[in-house]
Amino acid sequence: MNTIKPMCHDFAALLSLFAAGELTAKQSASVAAHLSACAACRQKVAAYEQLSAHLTKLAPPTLPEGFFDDFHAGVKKKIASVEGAQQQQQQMAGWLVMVHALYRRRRLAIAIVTLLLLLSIPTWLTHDRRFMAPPPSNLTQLLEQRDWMGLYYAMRNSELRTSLLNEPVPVQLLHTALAELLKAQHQDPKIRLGLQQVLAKIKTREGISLGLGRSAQILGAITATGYATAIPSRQIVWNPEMSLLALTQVDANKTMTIHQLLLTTNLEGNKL
Amino acid sequence: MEIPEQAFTQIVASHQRALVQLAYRLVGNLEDAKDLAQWAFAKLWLNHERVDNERQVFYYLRKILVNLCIDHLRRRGKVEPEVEFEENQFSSDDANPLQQLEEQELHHQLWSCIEALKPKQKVTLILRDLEGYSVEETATILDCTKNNVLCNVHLARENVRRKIQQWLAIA
Ligand SMILES: [Zn+2]
Repeated sequence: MNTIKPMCHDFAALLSLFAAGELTAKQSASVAAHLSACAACRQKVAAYEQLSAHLTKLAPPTLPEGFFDDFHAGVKKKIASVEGAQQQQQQMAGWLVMVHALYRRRRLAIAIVTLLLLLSIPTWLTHDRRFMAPPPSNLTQLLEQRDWMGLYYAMRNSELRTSLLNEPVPVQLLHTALAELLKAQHQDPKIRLGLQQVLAKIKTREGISLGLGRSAQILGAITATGYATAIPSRQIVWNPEMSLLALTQVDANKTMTIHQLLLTTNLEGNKL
Repeated sequence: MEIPEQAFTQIVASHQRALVQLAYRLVGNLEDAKDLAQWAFAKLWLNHERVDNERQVFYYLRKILVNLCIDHLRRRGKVEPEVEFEENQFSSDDANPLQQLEEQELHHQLWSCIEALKPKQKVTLILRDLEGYSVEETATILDCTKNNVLCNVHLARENVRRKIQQWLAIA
């Protein structure tokens, strides 16, 4: 059989995606096959990998102290400016209706004016804003309420995440919540995905936060090199079942942070 | 959904840093970044009926912010980036100072390459490669398909890689 051998040109648009692990398995395999025979494309992939390493190192802005002090006030000012303009527009519309009505019928006009006057009480004053409790931002509450989605979103916030990871929680609560979560994840793929993402967002000691996409590939686990105090530079896969086992061996009346929990368990078994 | 004052305060507090950082990377100066991020929150408050849950709040804020930033970039045209680099950013105990300096210079150069990209490519590259959103998340924020994201991020990386290699060849 005579097949056309794919050329470098065919792969040009795929190399950066290959380097970033964004291709499907099939695409990856065909790129890899080409790379094994083509030094030029290999070099290009290496360049993309270097570039991506530098891009992730580009520093976030250093914010001056007190940067956020007036932030919320600024938001409110902007809201007020829009609402003010909207109210003016509404009033204008009201006047137009009235003038129009006056022009047509007098008695109707009076009725409309009265109605407009009644309606002109600003809607936002009478508007019933039902009270809704803000989502809890501490781990104990999140676990008590089994608010997995809340936990997921809290974990996505880097400031909250640090405090959640270091918040002492009763071992008893940690144990029951984790057990329920593990049970639920077998039934509900959404919970499983959420759990993976929560775990993936946990920072390693080097400060590498694995992106959600990349971490989803590492199923149900994190590459927590930072926690590998005994065997540095080796990947440790966090095993939730192992953590659960470890928790049964701790005094249920004590407290523990998630950080400590991760330190105590790894692939080699629990080391409490 | 109804967003009571207290919940809104909480939303602002938990997203403000991420939004300012994203806006800063997109527009290159802090003052504009702050202003644009504040507008994103204001729009959320004014259009609260468009979101039903926290997940939607998360994406709505970023969607709005990215659009505001793209508009801002288009209106403003090309200007020199104000991005600054701190020396301590690279200093680890055993690092070589010369290498650090070169790295700083390289990062400076990287920023001007990113600055020069077309808005759509720039925004995709920043979301995907700097902010670390997954392809799916980037697609949701940009309201486009995953293939669209892959295409734009490839073009952006290719453009940056070419320019950087030219620069390295001269330097
Ligand atoms: Zn080739």
